[in-house]
Amino acid sequence: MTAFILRRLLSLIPLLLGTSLLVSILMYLSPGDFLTQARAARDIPQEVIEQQERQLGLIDASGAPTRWFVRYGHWIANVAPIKYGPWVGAPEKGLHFGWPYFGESWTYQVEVFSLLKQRVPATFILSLTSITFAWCIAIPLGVLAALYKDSIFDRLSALLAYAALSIPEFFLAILAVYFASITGLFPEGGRSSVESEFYPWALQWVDYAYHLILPTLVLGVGSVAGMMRIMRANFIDYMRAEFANTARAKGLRERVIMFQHVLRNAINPLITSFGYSFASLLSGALLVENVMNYPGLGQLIFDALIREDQYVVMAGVMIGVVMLVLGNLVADLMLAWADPRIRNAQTGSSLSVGVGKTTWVWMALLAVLAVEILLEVIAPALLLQIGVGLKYIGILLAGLLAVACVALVGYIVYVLFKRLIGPVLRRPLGAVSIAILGVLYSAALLAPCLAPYPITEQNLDKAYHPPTGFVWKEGGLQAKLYAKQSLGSPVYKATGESLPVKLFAKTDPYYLWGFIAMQRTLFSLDPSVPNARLYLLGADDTGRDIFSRLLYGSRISLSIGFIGISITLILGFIVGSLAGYYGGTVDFFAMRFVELLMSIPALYLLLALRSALISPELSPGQVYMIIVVLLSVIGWAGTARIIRGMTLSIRNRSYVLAAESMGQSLPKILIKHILPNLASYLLVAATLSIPGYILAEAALSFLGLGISEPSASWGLMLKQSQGNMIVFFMNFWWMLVPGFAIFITVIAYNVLGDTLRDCVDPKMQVR
Amino acid sequence: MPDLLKVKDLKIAFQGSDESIEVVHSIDFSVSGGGETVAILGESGSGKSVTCLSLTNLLPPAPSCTVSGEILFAGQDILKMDAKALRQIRGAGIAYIFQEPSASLNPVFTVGYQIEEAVRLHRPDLSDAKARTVELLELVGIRDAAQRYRAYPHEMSGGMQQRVMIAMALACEPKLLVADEPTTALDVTIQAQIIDLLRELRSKLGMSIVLITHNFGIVKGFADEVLVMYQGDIVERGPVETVLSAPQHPYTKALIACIPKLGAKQHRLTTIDHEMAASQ
Repeated sequence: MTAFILRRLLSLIPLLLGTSLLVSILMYLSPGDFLTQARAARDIPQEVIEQQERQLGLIDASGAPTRWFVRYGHWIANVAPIKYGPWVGAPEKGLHFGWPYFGESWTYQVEVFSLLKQRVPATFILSLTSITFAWCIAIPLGVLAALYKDSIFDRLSALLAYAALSIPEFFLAILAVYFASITGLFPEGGRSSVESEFYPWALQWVDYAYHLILPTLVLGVGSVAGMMRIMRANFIDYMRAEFANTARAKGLRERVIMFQHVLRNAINPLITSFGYSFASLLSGALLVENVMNYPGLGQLIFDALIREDQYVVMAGVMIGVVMLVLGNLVADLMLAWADPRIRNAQTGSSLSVGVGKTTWVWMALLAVLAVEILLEVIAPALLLQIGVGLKYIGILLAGLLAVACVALVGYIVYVLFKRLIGPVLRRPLGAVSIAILGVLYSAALLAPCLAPYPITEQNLDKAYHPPTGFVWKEGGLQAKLYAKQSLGSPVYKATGESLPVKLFAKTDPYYLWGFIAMQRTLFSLDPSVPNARLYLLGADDTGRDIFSRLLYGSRISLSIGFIGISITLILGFIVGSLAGYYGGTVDFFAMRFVELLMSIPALYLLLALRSALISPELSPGQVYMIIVVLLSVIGWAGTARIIRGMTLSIRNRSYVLAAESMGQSLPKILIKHILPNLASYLLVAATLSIPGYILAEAALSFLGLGISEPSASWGLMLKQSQGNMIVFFMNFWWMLVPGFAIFITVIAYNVLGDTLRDCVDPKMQVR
Repeated sequence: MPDLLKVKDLKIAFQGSDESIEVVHSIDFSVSGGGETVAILGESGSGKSVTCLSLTNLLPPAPSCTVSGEILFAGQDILKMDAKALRQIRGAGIAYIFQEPSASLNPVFTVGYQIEEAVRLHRPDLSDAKARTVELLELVGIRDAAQRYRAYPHEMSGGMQQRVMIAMALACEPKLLVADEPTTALDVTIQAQIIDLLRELRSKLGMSIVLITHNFGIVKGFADEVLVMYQGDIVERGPVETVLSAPQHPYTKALIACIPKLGAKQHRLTTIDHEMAASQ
């Protein structure tokens, strides 16, 4: 056991080295640097900027920019506890020990370590309380739902679980703060009250706890829902196990059988997921901390990333990785304690990243890096050209890849769906979810016809216009007109006048889907009164119609999920099945790479990659493509792992061996024998993963790092940050509608996925 | 000997997605106490496992599964008992051993714990349940019983796991042991050992046995009476020797004909034509 723990801890070293290197590269690739804003300001003289650059180490003594790998080298030298002066890390000669020095934060002008010391415990405590909360609620609820399967309680808790899983975390955070400010029951954010420094020590802790309540609830709610469903499914599985019947045959009471025999087994898979849930908690904490002003690690990293405060980002992501690996380690230890079968087989679980193994991958990566550094020193201009060229080729390839994947997956879905559509529609929930998705996708497809106004049309004099009310006058539906109460304030009142609503009204000509010429839209006001507007869902800060933007935004949100999952599935299937089929070296490298991707909290990696790849000169379409690819790449790791596992188990079945012995080629075996067995599972997994992509894109756009203006995206529409968000939303509640749109889409997919799973899983059909 | 177990007009039906399917159509049989061994023979789907599970009402409750008829154990009707009385019969009056010992034992508890659970449940008067458990382990032929007490099921071989199941069943010296294909999952040499063990325990404890199997080799030399089940009915019954030497029903004849004979020149193995049997 100690050997196992030691090995895991040792594996941290190459992992951290690699992560810091990766982040360093990504920051180097990001356009601009810490002083970009300063340079853009006109009134800061050049010499001051140069002096700053020298001080920060961005340029060396001669005025030439320092190379990123030189900076990285210095940083590693400072971080390493063992220094060999005077070359590496210390002025004194000889070998000696020194505390790691992580550099200084350029924003705050303090040591990174002291910043981390403040922030890390906050996030850690938040994660801990969230997990505890989630477990305490999810396990009893899941068990009860399983025991009373198909009862009202079960169905109600299922519905609540869907709802909780489907709300975007940042949206829930917004609603929570909204709730707090309306009711005054909870603090509106922050970690402690302003006066807390004057409190006695005990009261300070109470104050902390009070401030933790809402963030814990927000973070924990999603976990509760997921864990509850898993607990319920596991419990139902084990309720039917043979040993449960043996226990019954011995004469044990039902209660003892359920709570001792079944529960002890059913809980084990949940322990395994503890490691993963810690990862998603760290990512989720980033969003929640931002919205609720909770000063934790997530907020720190995000801020630093925006400002390109390099050392903070590097150290912060490294801490994230450490927390993740430790979380996994604790989960593995807990599992070993709980399940005697694993205890005995503890030669290193599949989650472990062995010391020797990862080092090989790092060697390979280092080789690539060496080439890059060489090029940088010898021919920097060439490197730049190559880089830019690669980027554009990459975008083009990504586009082609996306089309291919969607086509392939679409075909597979069509084939599968023909078989499953009947059972799905027969279940009421299935029918409802398909109906909702049908409406949403139709609206997205027909957006130009349904939206009365283009998304870029601004009307500054109608900023924050409320949703238009209707009256029935002169035998027809009429829209009320509004005017501002006073010139400065954005509060509107109905004037009492109204204009008739025209169906199939004439507008400026446009092309539907790029080639169908149309001139009408579903509804609008008579264009004869040029300044009148029908805002079905109100207007935003520059007077753009929210309803129209919602419709166009749906195109982005709805397509990203679908395209992203297609790419993920195809990539995951290719890599996973090949790894499972061949085993050996292929499997080895593939799995090490997958583990690497899974070691960094997803949102951190997403943000860092996005910073590196998205620069201002890219068009919205190209940005969209890059985001899709990013999401696919990060989501791909988990899918590949699972497909590999399933391939491994199928691969040794007789029919595969029979096909091989007959001389069938590899692709044929994969497609004809392995894929159909995986297909049902893949369909369900895909449907349940799409929400993740939709939420990730929304989160990115919400943080301002995804789709940018003037395109519309639901996440972007929720980002009306600057200043007092809450007062803002209180007065203009209609701005929250995109959040509910996300919620409805995601819940429809979740319900559909669950229904599909029930249709596909024969065990669920036993009454 | 008086009848220990008397089954009258037993019907078992399962609820499918649309309709109810009867899997056991009104069967009767009885088992005397004091060591009588009744073997129930049949192929998969004949209803034999379901029948023996119903003996202590272990099947899923209605509406999923409906059991009707009379199952009299020592004079009391099992199907009409309340839960408490039923729990007392289970383990102490009628005990089970199942087909797959690796699935029938809880993987997260030690074997000693699982046996002791049964002991504590039905013999609260025993001061040292652990000692009794070790004694049971020795009784079923497990060496180093005191150490094996702390072992987990996955640390044992299939044969040993089955012995543990037997120990668990015997914990309270039941009057009737129901064995559902106890040796199907084991290889032939272990099979013989388990049957020998059962034979020894039967004579030592005077325990009656209901044995489900599809293996004629076990039936002969171990069972007293045999019931042949086919698609939910008992098509033939009688003392083992009689049925095996002079089968009456065509299905029984076909079953016996299926056994490959050593030394005989057979090009093709005999199979059973279900159309023919069903028409009887």
